[in-house]
Amino acid sequence: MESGDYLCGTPTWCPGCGNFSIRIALSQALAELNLLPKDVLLVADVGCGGNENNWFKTYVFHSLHGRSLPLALGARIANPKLTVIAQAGDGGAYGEGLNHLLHACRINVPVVYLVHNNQLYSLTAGQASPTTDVSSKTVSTPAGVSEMPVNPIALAISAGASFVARGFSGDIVHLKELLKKAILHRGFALVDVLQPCITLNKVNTFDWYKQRIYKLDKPERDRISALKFAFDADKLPIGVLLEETRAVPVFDLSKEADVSVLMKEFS
Amino acid sequence: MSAGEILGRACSRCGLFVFASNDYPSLIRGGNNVFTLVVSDTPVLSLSSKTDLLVALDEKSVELHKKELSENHFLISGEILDKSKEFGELSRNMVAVGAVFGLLNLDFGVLSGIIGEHFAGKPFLDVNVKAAKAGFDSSKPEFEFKVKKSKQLFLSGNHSLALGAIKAGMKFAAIYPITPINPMLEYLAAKSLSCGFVVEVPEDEISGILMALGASHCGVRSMVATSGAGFSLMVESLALAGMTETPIVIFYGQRAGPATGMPTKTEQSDLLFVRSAGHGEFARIVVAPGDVEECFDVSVRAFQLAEKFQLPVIVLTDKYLNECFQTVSSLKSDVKVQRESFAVPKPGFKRYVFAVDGISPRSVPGQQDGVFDANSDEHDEFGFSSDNSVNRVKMVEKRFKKLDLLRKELPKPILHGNENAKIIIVSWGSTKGPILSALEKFSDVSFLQLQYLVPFPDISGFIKGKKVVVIENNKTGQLARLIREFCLIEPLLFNKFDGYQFTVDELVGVLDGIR
Repeated sequence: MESGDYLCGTPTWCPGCGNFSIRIALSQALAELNLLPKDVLLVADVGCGGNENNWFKTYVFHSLHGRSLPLALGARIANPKLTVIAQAGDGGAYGEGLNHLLHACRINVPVVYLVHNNQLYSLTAGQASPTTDVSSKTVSTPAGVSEMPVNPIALAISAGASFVARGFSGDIVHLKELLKKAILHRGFALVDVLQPCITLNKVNTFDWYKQRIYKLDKPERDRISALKFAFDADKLPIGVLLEETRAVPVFDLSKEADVSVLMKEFS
Repeated sequence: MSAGEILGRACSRCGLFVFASNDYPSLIRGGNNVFTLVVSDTPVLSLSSKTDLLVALDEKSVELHKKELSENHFLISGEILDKSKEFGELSRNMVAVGAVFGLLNLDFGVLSGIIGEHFAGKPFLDVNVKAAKAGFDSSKPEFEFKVKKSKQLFLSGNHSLALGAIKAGMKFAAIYPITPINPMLEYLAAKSLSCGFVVEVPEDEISGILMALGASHCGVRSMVATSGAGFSLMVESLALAGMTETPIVIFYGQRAGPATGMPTKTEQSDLLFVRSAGHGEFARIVVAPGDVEECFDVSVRAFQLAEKFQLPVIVLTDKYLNECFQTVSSLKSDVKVQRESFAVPKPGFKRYVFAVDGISPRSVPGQQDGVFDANSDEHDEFGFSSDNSVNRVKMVEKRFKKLDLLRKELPKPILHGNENAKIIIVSWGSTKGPILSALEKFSDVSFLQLQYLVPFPDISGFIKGKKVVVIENNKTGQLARLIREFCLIEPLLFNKFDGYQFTVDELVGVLDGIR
């Protein structure tokens, strides 16, 4: 398969937006794993990244804001042969839909959650999101953000996720390899992708990320040591932070029920 | 299964007709818990206002229920129940059940059989049978029934709805616990492995309906079950189902609101809510079965309709119907269970093609040449986002076009009683039983039962030239408002909203008043 086999249309993102890189990395990952477009279900959120629903030639479900993940879980339970990739931005994944993330970590249904984390509500023109850094001035926080940002990596590790990774939209090859690992992982996989919003985020710029990012060689052995990386205040490690073998729920929908037998139990 | 349920099932298996309803506070232990059974050798549709036989497990209960007792009542309490001391305090209710069975002059073998089934494999089986026998031996027969042996079922509305879902081939249920649908959750969970379907208990109802929509998108018949508080959380995704034309069945057991309200009491106050819930305009079906027997057919049909017309179907019941038990001869549905509205996609497949009848055949993930975008944005025939006005109008019209065919296929309102009667009661849902019981006293009153409420049926032919009386369990007369809207008449409204079903006496009083 070629990466172009999964793509269609012309994205309308701002020129230079990290969403282009994420789209390329994902299509390349699917191609290199030789997954047929008919066997891939992409579940999109609402936001700049969510608009990708129009530019993929796989099965797509464009869900509501913050609501891509539970829909993806239901789909994967109903058809375990599918590769299901839910996507969201930092608003959808870590604000509106955070509860779903914590429980997806627990349930461990094999779905990849690819989060476009640009630390801002961008499609609504630049309000502070749950991951905006403290003291950042935005249109919704003229005096600067006072809230502690959500730490999605730490949350996912604590909630029992069996695969937690962080990527950077500025490194397509690295991100593609991360996504391949996430897709092949047996269980729920969070891939948080750091992504500069080149139009609206004047703090977390491409250079800002470049100065802080470094690559991890291999996943950590346990949650506690993975958490240390998640809480690194100065640097931003990218790569797989935690990968664990954990039981995956098994569902068998193949049996047919005989209602007449069930009714007899009520006689 | 409670002691009351064991007693009801035993009476039913003896060939009698039973109607039973429970009443309890929102507590795990304690409080005044009541299980009321009406037992007869002719069919029973509702509760009775007088009690012939009271089992009071404590002294307080005697006081509480004294005013409901009939003149020649029997009381089982204190001394008789103290026989349980021999078997342990927990067998007190089994002594009572045995004592009632003796009074009713029924075959103890049937009762011990049911206790045996219920406690099969458990250590207290013997003790419970012995306790029931002690109770049975202590009472002398006082009632005489004409018993005819016929196979019949004794089950609740929850069970009947669940059986309908299984009959329809339901494969995915996401249910967050809530009164009054918990028994449905528990029954489905117990049967999921042997029957090959999934029961998920999600983190909240928001997630629940989305999981069900995801599963439905993949082609399996999917459901949620909830009450008002949970449905409120589902509303945003109800609109998603409407926009993406994803089938789903929503079982909605109403209870007394608003907010937490009286969570274990009954009410019919969400008809207008479900009728218009969700942002934007989209087609849906709302159907309200009237009794335990109807629950089965309505449930089977709900899945068939949801799939064929690719829309949400809301099965609207209430605490009274969900949790009441009834003897029924059998559960039947004339619905043919078959897969509907799926495509055999070819290259260039248009999932949302402007079909003449509005039903665009759908593909499912995994199907070759079927890829499409199930899009919460307004979309074109492929599913791609579009805010083009011409497309918008055509797509909205397409989604509503389905209603033309739907109206033809939906079962018609059911007329009970004399069609020439000058007075016609119009009602919906669980009021059916008490209304039919009350009508036994009036030959000049008929009853129009509306099962399918959205889209609203054409009832003009039924009500023309008649005095229309609406009976419903809410404050504002929600069905009455629909009748005003669609029929341009002002019906007489009789309503109540005290948390309880109408009694037959109340309805007889109402009808006496207007004749």
